[in-house]
Amino acid sequence: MLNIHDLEARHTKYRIKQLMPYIMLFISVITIFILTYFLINFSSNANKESIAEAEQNISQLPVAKNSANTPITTKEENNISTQSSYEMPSEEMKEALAEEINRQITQREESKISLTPSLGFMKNMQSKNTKLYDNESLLLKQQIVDISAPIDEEVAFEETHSIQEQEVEQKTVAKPTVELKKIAPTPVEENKGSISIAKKNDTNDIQDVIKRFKVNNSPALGLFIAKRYYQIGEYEKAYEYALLTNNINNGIDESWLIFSKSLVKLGKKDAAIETLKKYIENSGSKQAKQLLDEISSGKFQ
Amino acid sequence: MSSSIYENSRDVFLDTVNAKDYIQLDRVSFIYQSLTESIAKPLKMILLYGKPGTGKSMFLTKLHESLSASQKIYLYKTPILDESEFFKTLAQDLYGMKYDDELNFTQFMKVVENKELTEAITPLILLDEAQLYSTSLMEKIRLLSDTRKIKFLIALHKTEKEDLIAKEHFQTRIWESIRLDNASATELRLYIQKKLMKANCIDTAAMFSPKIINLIHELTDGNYRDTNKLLFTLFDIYVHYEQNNPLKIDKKEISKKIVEMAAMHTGLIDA
Repeated sequence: MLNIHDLEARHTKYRIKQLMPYIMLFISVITIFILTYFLINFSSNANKESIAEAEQNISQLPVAKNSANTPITTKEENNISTQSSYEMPSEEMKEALAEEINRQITQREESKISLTPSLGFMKNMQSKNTKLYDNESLLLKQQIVDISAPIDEEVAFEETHSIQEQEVEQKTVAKPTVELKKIAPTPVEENKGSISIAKKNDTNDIQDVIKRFKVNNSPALGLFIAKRYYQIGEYEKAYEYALLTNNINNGIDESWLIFSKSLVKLGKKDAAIETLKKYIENSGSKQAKQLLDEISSGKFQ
Repeated sequence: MSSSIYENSRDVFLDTVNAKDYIQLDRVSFIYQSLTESIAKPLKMILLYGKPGTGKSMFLTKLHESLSASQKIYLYKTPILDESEFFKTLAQDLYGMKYDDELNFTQFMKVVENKELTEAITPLILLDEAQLYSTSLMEKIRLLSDTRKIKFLIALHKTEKEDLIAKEHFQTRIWESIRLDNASATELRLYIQKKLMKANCIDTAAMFSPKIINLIHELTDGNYRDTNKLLFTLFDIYVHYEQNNPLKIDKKEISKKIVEMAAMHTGLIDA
């Protein structure tokens, strides 16, 4: 006996069962399309961001070059001796800078954007050179600059942006020193005001390095940031980044020094002494001993 | 009250073995021709085999009907499994000898050997469903065929498990084997349409599109018995719809849905 209702119900189920693979296929295709769409969008956004970042970094480079070049030109043309009493970049800093340069090069290669050279730095150079030429008579009057006179810390920092530039700098700085010794055996009062240096935006620069530090956790970058903060007087941040760097690599002298110095600056002299003592016990670092002595004796405050 | 075209069409596919329902198809005709030629040859045994529902019984029925006028031919549709009964039936049919008591193989063999052939053509015994006969009885049938006074046409299922052709009693005898296969889609279309047209159901015969024929072939694998079952149920559903919900049926073409419903009902679709 035929039960048509039952047969119809069974047939409906059967048809759904038959169609199920096609439905699943359709859903899969739609899902793949949606995912692909989002992925493409995401990657294009990421590309845009990296291009923007690359552009930002590149736009910063000529400024650094400019500020680094300016004093060289001045020195060469005026035969002015300036002792490079700024701190020489440490190995870690060099590494950090080398990484930065490599990263920027890679980014530029990857992003495959055609860059047109910015002539802004030329204008800057021209304007600064003009200023310097204007001050030429003044400089000539002074003739000699105290070799031991320290260069503003900003100069040192700006010059550390490029290892190659730094090498050039060292060479050019070294030469005039010899010449000047012959010309001017007796030192005269320094004149810092004669050197005009363009100061770039420190905050952006540090933020950029912090970003990279968060990505790759490089102790060199951590130390760089700590030093930078220390230089600009943000001792708490300097302390934090030195601590982070120590956590990543506890064998970096400079990092411990910055850490201790920051503690002193934050009014925690005892903690700084305690830290240094422990570090000296483990490492026997001479620099740490020296700093400990200075802190203990009150020379370093 | 006159029956509807669907009821008539349904009754066409009642699964009965009747020589009148025999459908002349090219391949079937060729096999039938081969079979009649084999019967005319001095062969002792002829084997007709194939899967269930391929038309073996129909062939035997048709053959019996066709040849009964010209020669002694006996069709045993149901196997006679008791040996004495089997020999007594043969004695009765072939020689008109009636035995009330037991008739064993030796006694019957003597009867056969003593009987002279009265006709030029050897009497033919058609045994359907021969796979049900015991090996012992099959051996005795072989020995009877060796006398050349009785010819046997044996129809059996060829199962995958049992390769009957390899059996000794078939290997060592002069015999001819004819295999029956399922119908192709084209043959199935001809089979359905001829069967319907033979019953004067021309309208329903025209309702079978090639697509539907292919679907039926796919479901039944061209098996005649399964096709009969499916189409019987198919037209039964049509009858139901015609009586209860006529709007649900398309009178121009057989509905795929109803074919599938019929297949579910007959077990051809497991759903």
